[in-house]
Formats: sequence, C-alpha cells, structure tokens
Amino acid sequence: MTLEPEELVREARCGNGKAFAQVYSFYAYDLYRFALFYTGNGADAEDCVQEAVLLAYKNIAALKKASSFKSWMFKILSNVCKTKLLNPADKLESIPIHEISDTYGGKCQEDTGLSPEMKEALDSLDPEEKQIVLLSIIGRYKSSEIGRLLEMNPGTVRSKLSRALKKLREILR
Amino acid sequence: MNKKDLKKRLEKEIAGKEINLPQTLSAGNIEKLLAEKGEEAAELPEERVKIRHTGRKIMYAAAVLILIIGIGAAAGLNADIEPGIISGETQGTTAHIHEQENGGSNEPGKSDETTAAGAAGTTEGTGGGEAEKPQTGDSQDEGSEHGQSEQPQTQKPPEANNGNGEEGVILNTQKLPTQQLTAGGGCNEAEELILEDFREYYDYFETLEPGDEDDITDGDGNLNALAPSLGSPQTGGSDLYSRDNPDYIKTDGDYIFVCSGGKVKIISAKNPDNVKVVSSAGRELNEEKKEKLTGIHLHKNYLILSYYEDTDYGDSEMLIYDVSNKAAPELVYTYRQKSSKAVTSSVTEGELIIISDYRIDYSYTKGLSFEDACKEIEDVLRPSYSVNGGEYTSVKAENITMINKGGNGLHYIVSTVIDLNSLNEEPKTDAFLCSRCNIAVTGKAVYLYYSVEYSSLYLTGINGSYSQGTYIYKLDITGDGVKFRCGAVICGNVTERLFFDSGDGYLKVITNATDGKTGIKLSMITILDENLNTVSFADGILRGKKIAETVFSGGLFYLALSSGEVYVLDASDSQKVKLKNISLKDVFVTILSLSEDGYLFAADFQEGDFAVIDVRNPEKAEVLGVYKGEGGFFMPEKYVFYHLNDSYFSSFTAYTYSRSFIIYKIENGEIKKTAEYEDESINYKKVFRRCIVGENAVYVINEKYITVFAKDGSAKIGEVEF
Repeated sequence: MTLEPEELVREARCGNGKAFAQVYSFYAYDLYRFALFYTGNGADAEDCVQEAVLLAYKNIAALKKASSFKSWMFKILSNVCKTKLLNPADKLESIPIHEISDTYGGKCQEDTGLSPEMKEALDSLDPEEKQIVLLSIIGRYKSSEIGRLLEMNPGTVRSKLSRALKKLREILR
Repeated sequence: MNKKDLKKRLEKEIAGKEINLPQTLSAGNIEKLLAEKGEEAAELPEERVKIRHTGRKIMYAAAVLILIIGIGAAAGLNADIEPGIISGETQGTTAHIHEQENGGSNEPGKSDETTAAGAAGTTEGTGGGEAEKPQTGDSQDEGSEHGQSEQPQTQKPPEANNGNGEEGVILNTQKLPTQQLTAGGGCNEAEELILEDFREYYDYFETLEPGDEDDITDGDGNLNALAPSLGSPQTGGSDLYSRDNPDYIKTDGDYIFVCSGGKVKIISAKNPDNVKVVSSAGRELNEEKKEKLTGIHLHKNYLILSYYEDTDYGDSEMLIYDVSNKAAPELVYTYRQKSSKAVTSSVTEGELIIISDYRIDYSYTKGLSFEDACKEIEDVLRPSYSVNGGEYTSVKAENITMINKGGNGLHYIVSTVIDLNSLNEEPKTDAFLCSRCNIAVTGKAVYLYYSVEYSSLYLTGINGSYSQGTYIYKLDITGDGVKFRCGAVICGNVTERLFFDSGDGYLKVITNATDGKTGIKLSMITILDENLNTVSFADGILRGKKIAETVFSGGLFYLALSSGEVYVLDASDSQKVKLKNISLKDVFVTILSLSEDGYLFAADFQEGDFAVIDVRNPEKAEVLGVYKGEGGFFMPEKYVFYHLNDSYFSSFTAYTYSRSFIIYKIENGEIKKTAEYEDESINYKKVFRRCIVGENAVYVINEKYITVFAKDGSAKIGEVEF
C-alpha cells in the first residue's frame, strides 16, 4: 500500500524512520539542488542535507501540520546551509564588538556544473540573497512564503529579491 | 538582460538542471542513516507518549482522590478540596505537554513550522541541537523531552528565592568597548539616496509583467502602489518616566474623557448619582481612509487627540482642544503631517512630542515617464506638515539627518515638538533617515533601535560570541527640537523594549542571542551611559532559555521566560548584577505587569492563570494569590485581570454562562475581595475596556457605556451611554 506524504509524515512522527525516508524522497532532489547551489559544492551539500534530515527527524514531533513538511524541511536545510557557509570547517570567526564590519562573506568551492558566468552571478549574492533566490527558483515559493520560512517581512523579501535579481541581471548581460 | 530572460536562464541552469542525487542521499541510505544516527531522535515520540501518560496519571490520581474523598465526605466535596490545587497540578502538566508539542515556544503567533525549524537553525528557535533543559522547576519530563543536552553548565542555576532572602547568582560583568556610531550625513546625502532607491524601484517595476506576484502596475505599466520594501516602525513601549502616554481613557478626577469613534466624550463623574455626558470633542473619522483616533492626552486645560489614516500613505493629525469649559471644548490648534503614521506621542514638561514615520510616496509618480517621475518625486523627498490648516511646509534641510542608509527600505522618523504653553510658535520638526526601527521616548531623549542578524560576523561577549546585534541611536530633546546625539551597537536582539533607570540615569538593555560556538540561547544585559558607552555588560544569563517579557523598576528587572518561570535580575549596582528566581510553580507566566505600589502581576497568556506577587521588598518576594483561569486565551472577551489604581485589581469573566466582575484590593500584603458584580449589572454586549475605582463609586467602562456601582458592590447606581 502506498501512503500519501501526509500520512507518511504522521507515521514518521511516531518514530517510523522508513516513513520519514519515504516522505523525504519526494523532495530529495530539490533539497539537494538547493544545498548544492547554495554551498557551491557537492560534498558540503551532502553534509548539509544529511544534517538537515537528522535534525528534522529529531524534531519532527514539533511539526504539527503534516502538509507543511516540505517548507519545514527547506527552512531547516536553509538554516543548516547558511550556518555551514558562514562557518566553514566549524571555525568561528569572532571579533571584538568595536571592530565590526559588514564585509564578511562565505566562499564556495567549484563542482556545481554551473557555467562560470552563472557561478559568478550567484557568488555575487550575499548568503541571504542567495537563500531567497534559490528558495524562489527551486522551492518555487512566493515572497510571502519565503518570508515565513526566513522569518522576514514579505516586503523585505521582495526588496531583497529584486536587488538580488538586479545583481544577477548585471552580471548575466 | 531583462527579467523574462533572466527567469528563463535561472530556470534552465538552476531549477531545470539535471543533477545526480548522491547515493548517500537516496531514500534507502537516509533510512539507514536514521537507523544509525537517529536512534536518539527515534526515542522522542515514545517520550511524548510517556509524558502524556504522566499527565493522565496525575489526572487519574486526582480523580481517584476526589472519588475517595467523595465517598468519605459524600457531600461538600467541592468545598473540602481546594480547586486550585487540583487544577494546578493538572494544568501544570498540560502546560508542559503543550510546550513540548510546540517545540518549547510559547510565543503567540509563532507557527508550528517556524518553531520546529528553528530547532534546527540559526535563528531564535531552540538552536542547532541545543537543549531546553530547565534549570529550575519540577519537571523531569521536560528535560528528557529535549534530552540532547550538550550545553556546558558554566553558570550555577539561581536558587529559588522563597522568602529566605537568598542572594541568587552574581553575574560576571565586564566593561566591553562599545562600537560608537555616528550619523551618516545630512539632507543632501539623504535625498540622493532616496532618488537612487526610487530609480532602482522604478526600473524593477518596469520589468514586471502583468500577473507577476510583485506586479503592482495598473496593467499599462504605471505604478499604482509603492515600493514593497517599506516597513513601519513599531512602538517600543518603554519604561518611560516624566511623560504622559496616550490612552483611550483619561480622567482628571471629576471628568472622564473616553474615545468613542472619532470623538472624545467628556463625561461628568463628580456625582456618582448623576453621571452624564456633557460634551464631545473631535470629529467624524474618514472611513474611506481608514482613519483612527489612536489616543488622547490631557495636559492642564488641553485635551489632545491623535489621529492617523491606516493606509499605506495616510496622514497623521493632532487636534488640541481647550477644555477649560467642559461643556464647550474649543479647537485651538491642528497639526497635520503628510504620508506619516504617528507612532507615538507624549507630553513632557509642557511640550507635546510627536514621533511619526514618514513614508516616501513613490506612487505619487503614477503614470509618468521615468524622467517626469524623477522630477515629481523631488516634491516628496522631505516630510511636510501643516499647522492650523495652512500651507504644507517641508522640514528644513538643516533639520534633516541621515542616520544610516535604511537597510529595510527608506523612510524618515520625524519628530515634532509643540510648545503647549505657546501654541503660536512654529513647531520644531526634525527628520531622521533611518532603518525600520522601534522607538522609545523618555522625558529627555528619543531612542531609535533595531536588532539585526549579521550574515558573517560574530560579536564577542564574555561567555559567547553572537551574530545578533542591536543598533541604538539616541536623539536628544533640546530646546531647539530633537537632535542626533550618538549611536552604538551592542550584542544580542532586544527582548522587547529599552529600559531607563531614572535612579542612575543609565540605559539598561536586556537582549537575547544564540552563542555561535555552542548554539545555546543566552540572555545578556548591557548598561550604557548617556553617551551610549558601555558601563557594564553581563552575558550567560539563563543559558538555554529565552526571555519572553521584561518589566523594570528601581534597578530590578522582572523576567518572564518562554519556559514559564519568573526571575529577578538586580541591576541596581551595575558592577554587581544578580539573578534570582521567584518560586511560582502554579502559573506558567508569559505576561508581566508591575504596579507602582510594588506588586507584580504575572499572567499566563495561554491559560488565563494569574498570580499577584508582593515585590515591595524584592529580597522577600511573596506570592499573595494565584487565580486559575478557565482556559482560553488571555483576552478581554474571555477571562482577564486588570490592574487598577491604588492596589486595586479586577477580574472579569465574560463567558456565555459565567459572567462576573470582581474587584480586589491588596492591603498590607493581603488580597481582599471588595465587590463582585454579576450578570445583569453590566452591559456585556460591548467590549470591556476599563474600570476606575473612584472615591465613592466604581466606574466600569466598555466601548459604549459607563456603568456606576457603589464601591462595596451593593448596588448599581446608574448607567450612561456615550
């Protein structure tokens, strides 16, 4: 018998790992795709997806609406990826408060198979912009949904998205 | 490249790109991974079941107990058992289960997904695998539910302050160097920035196609709405001294002033036997523009009404009436500001201070070519105002300060100072281009503040490093208007509001943050001097917990945690900050209110439970009474407690089958019921607003009636519709 995704989520909430893996498989490609283009390399993307899956399984009891599984997974994954990108090799860069600057950024390795131009364009985005663009393109979320995922005002999402798209347009002429 | 082409290319190269899913991420391998590494996680649902059983056991035990006592006592069961005790246990258990089911969050409005995902992430959720293990309290279940404790316990949990005068934990404080921030420029820089922003948005909207999510054109490509990024500031209610805050109801002792629609009804209450409406001030609201009367001030003989239009670019207006003759109020002054939302206002030392948010109305250029639009937009580059219906005047260039580049959309915070002793003088209006921010006003200064999360930066504290920070800008209220003084950035996100200590003059800020190294939530206090230099800083407060609400008085912070506990943070000595727990087991506190006479009112938003704590001597905080709600949310229509004047507080129940109004008085540390009013005494058809305990009578005010009762509750004296 094949269970619907929502039924699988309910099963997973009762500790059924197989059901969790099944419902995960519906979104596995999109999740990996998101992580791949966000982190910029396959190894990190694999790590991120695995970590996100474990975290999600650990906390699935907190997911009340089974129908929200996909967006919930994307949120976890985007947080994991963001942490990974900002904190490569688990080394925390900490500086005194009086020396703050806004010029920090993560770096990606290259094995995404993207054209150099597209890669350059994506790299020009800051992590948050990249998150929004990828959620929009891969997750196909609207700005209001991205706003909920990232705990941002939808207006702010639209604003950041428009700036990000403008950056991309400038590079991908 | 236009937007359409970009979309196609992104679709092709990213969304539509063929990728191979690594073998490790196949469903089969994920199942194996969960079996190997997810063992700990797999126990979680069982734990939930166990907790539920625990809850049931308690309920069963209570039922058995009732049965046994019932058999023994036959009659009078309810009289023999204190309902509060039984309901306390069962409700306490329910609260824990509820908390677990919500991933530890008790914040209203947080979605399940948000809370759950936060558990994995970098935001303010439960953090990446961090534990929510309680430091105090009696629930073992809660700890095991979250049982992944990796947190180093570097801080001794505070001892319960049960009246024995225990000292609590003295926190390690340091004086961190503060990053000082200066203003970014003046009028020219601000206007150039706005024009640049406008061009960008114009360009963006031009590329939208009809039907696109962000398409806000009228179909011909003309703008018919505005830049979507503009946000509005929120009023950061603050612990304000020497100022009068706006309210819906004011009284001078003889008269009650009540907002009703767009008007203020002036009601004579001198004689309880003859309460009557004597006149009204104000005007009808403009329904089309969603106009609202947001509050009133009463200053000497002046009644001040604050209006704003609740639309994207609505105006704000203040009307000042001379109410020397209560029967015939006279409009003596109007102040109107274009495209601005009056965020807050106050009266201090004879000056009316209005703080508003000016939104730059790009839709002004609807239907124009880009070149013409750029010319037209110049007309709205600066905020403008009109006095007594005259021509609009723009804020002078020298009174414009660009504080920063407005990370969340461009808008001005506008300050206006009106001298109530000399209404003929021009108002002093200044404008500050700034990010979306919270606002707090004291008698001497205006503070703009907003919290940020850095994408790639950690600020060093004492016990952790934080990617959350808060920018604070201080504006002085001077004889010449409001002027920028200084700014600073501190660690953590502001929990709710800023606090000002009139005792030592320091600004005290409680913030929450997640330690970037351990992922554990920490709270911290930063104490700043008048130039926003850090005097003292302590972090590592309440590891793994999140502060939900804070109230402050006399150097003491009362903290309600999301986990339901109440703590006292003694910051009266900035170098020796102490933390103590108030033992309050029966109420899961999420809302706090502190009366001027030293009583802390602690309420449970979810259940409607309520406790009164005597904190007149904070060293010996004592719970005077616990009142169990009847379920439901803590809102006026259901079950609510209000703190009134002079040690009075009231409960109001408005369920369909149970309606009553009770007034209590706290005398010498004891709570006494002074009067109870039942069903027919009060008109329940309208929303209850306030109760005023007068010298000879009690005035119960809802949105349409004032009902007057004898102070002892013995009789209803009268009712007046307004």
